[in-house]
Amino acid sequence: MNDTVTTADGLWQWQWIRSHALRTTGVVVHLVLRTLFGIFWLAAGINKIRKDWLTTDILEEIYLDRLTELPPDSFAVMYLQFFAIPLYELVAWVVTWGELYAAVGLLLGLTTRWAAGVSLFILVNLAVGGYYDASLIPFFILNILFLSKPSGQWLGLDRWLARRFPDSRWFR
Amino acid sequence: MAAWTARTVRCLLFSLALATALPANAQMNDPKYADYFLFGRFGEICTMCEVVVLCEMSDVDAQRESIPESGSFTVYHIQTRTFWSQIATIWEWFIRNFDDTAADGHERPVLVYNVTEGKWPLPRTVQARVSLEPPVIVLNEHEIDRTSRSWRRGPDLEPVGYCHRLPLWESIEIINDRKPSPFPL
Repeated sequence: MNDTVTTADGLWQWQWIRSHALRTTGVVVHLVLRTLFGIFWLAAGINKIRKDWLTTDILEEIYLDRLTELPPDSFAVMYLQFFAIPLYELVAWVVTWGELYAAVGLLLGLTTRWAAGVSLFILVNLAVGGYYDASLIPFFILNILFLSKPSGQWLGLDRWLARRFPDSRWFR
Repeated sequence: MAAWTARTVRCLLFSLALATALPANAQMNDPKYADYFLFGRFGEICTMCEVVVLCEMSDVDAQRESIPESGSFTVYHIQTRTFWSQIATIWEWFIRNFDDTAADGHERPVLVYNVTEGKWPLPRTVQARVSLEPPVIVLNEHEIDRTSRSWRRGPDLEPVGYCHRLPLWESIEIINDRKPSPFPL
C-alpha cells in the first residue's frame, strides 16, 4: 500500500515520467481504457433508465425472447427460467444501478476496484445468462486489469480519499 | 495538490460530459425497423443467434410452419457471427453512439441447402451480408428484401419467390435428419 502511494505521489512529476517512460505509458493506456470502459457502462446504464427497465417488465420480455434463441438444454435456459425471469425486477435494479455505479467509479476513480468488481459481477451474469459472445473477452481482461491495479490512486478521487481515510478498504 | 485535483476534476468532468452527450437510442433498436424480416423485438439478429430461413420460388407468399416434406426449395441456416466478427461488435456499438448510420450491417456464415424434388444435397457455405440500410440480406447470387421478404436473384435482382423464418430448434432437427452425411460410410 505504501509503495503504491509512493508511486502515485511521483507519478505525474516530469522527473518520474522521464525516468519511467514505459510505466508512464502503461499507466496512461490503463487510464484511457478505464475511462472508455466507464463511458461504456454509463451509456449502458442511461440506456436502461431511458428504456424503463426500472419501471416496466421489459427485462422479463427480453429474457422470454432470449429463451427462444437459446439451445433448450443449455445452462443459460435454466439460469433464465429459475433465476433471472422470476426475479427480473431485482435483476433490472441490480444491473442498472450496478452499471451506473461501475461507470461513476471508473470515470471518477472513486472506489475504483469495487466498481471494477461490480462490473465483473455484471459481466459474469451476462455470460452465464446466455448473452455470452467473444466481445466479452476483452471486457473480462480489462476488468481483471482494473481490479489488479490501484488506478484510482494514479488518477481519481481514491488518491485524495485514501489519504483522508488511510485504513479504509474502499479507496485502495 | 490543489492544482492536481483541479486538473483531475476537469478531465473527469469532460469525460462525463462526453458520455452523457451520447445518444442512447442507436439505430439497432430504432422502431422503424421493427417489421423488418429477422429483426427481433430488441434489435438485429444477435451475434450468437442462429436462424433458419426457407425460400421458395413462387408468385404467392405461401405461409410455412416448417420445412416441407417434398418439393424444391432453399433452406438458409444462418450461423452465429464468427469470433472476430463478435469482437468487432465492440467497435460497432461504440461508433454507432456517435453516428447511428455507421457500421451498419455485418457478415456471417450461412449453410445453404438447395433442395431439389425432396433431395437434400450437402450444404455449401456462403457469407451473408445482413444490413438495415439498405434492408437486405445478400447471399451470393440471391438476396432477401427485409421489408417484403421477397427473394431475388441475379444481377437484375429479379423477384423469384418469398422467404419465411422457421422455428429454430425444430428446423435444425429436421435439417440434421435430412441432410446427407459428408462421410456416407
